[in-house]
Amino acid sequence: MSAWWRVNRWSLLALVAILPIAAYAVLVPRAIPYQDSRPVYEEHALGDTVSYGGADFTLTSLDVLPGWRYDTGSETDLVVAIITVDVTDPRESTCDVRLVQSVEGVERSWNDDLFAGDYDVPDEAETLCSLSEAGEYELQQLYVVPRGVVTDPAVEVTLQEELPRALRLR
Amino acid sequence: MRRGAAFAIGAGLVALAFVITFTEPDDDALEQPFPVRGDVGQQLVASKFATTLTQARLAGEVDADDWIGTTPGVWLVLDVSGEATIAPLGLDAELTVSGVDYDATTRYGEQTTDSVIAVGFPLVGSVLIELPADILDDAGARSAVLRLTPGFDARLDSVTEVVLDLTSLERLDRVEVEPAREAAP
Repeated sequence: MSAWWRVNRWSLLALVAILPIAAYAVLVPRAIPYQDSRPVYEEHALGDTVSYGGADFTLTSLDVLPGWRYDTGSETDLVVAIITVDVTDPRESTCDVRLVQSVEGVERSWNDDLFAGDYDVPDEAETLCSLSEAGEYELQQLYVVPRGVVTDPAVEVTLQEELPRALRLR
Repeated sequence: MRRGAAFAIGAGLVALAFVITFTEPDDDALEQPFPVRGDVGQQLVASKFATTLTQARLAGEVDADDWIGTTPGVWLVLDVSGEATIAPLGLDAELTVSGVDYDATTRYGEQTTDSVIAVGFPLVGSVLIELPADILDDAGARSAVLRLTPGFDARLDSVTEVVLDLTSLERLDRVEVEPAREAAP
């Protein structure tokens, strides 16, 4: 061990410890707000009832139907999600319901379509996920997707004011 | 000798700190998008979308059937298809000539940049950019950069770019365009 090392070793070891701490102190305060803004999805199965944003959500069916049968295009499938929404604490909010499917390890998503070919949404069902009135209703969400791409669908329910908590129902 | 070396090292570190301070990139540089560059006719694949510029030409007037686009300048008419690969998105187009940015026109609302593109359903249509009449006299017209971005905020995002020589483009009196349409998946 050289004399130089004996004299300076503690300073150098302190530097080795301080540098990562300094990097952590600079970067983490920036990362935390970003991470907090990212949705964290809770997984729930078909039929489970989950309380979220002042309502109880139950995914009652999630079907992939051939597009040709509903005139959405021969190269398409129609995915129909039916969710029972029971609003217990009304608020002036609407939730976002997206269809997601993992394709080759990459998660892809689709927005709902208000109308899809000649698929008939029953008059008593809603197509907008509104939380403004107390009571239970059936929400039907339609998604036109390329044929054969969606094989294991899930829907993500997101309410802005509830983020980062969000639901993934499959 | 040892004291002299320490002084020299200290002075060197102070000088280095000055160099770093004065050469530090500004916020714009720190947030530059990541471009995927290519040519006309080539599909360019960014992280969230893919685009293909199939044709570019200049026109004095644009005929969109129910809208006739006149201009004291010149139209850059681009045939562009876009495809979302991760999540639905809207494309934004910008042409940069000599540091000046020109956006797609807001006078015609059925361009490829005016609709949300669903994953797996390419949108095929046009993008219209209105340019000054003397744009071809600009030295930068030979290397104008068309940038397509996922939405208007492209900071640190993956974008596609095609370099265009505006002076070499076909110039027509009138070009007919059709509303953007969803192609088969």
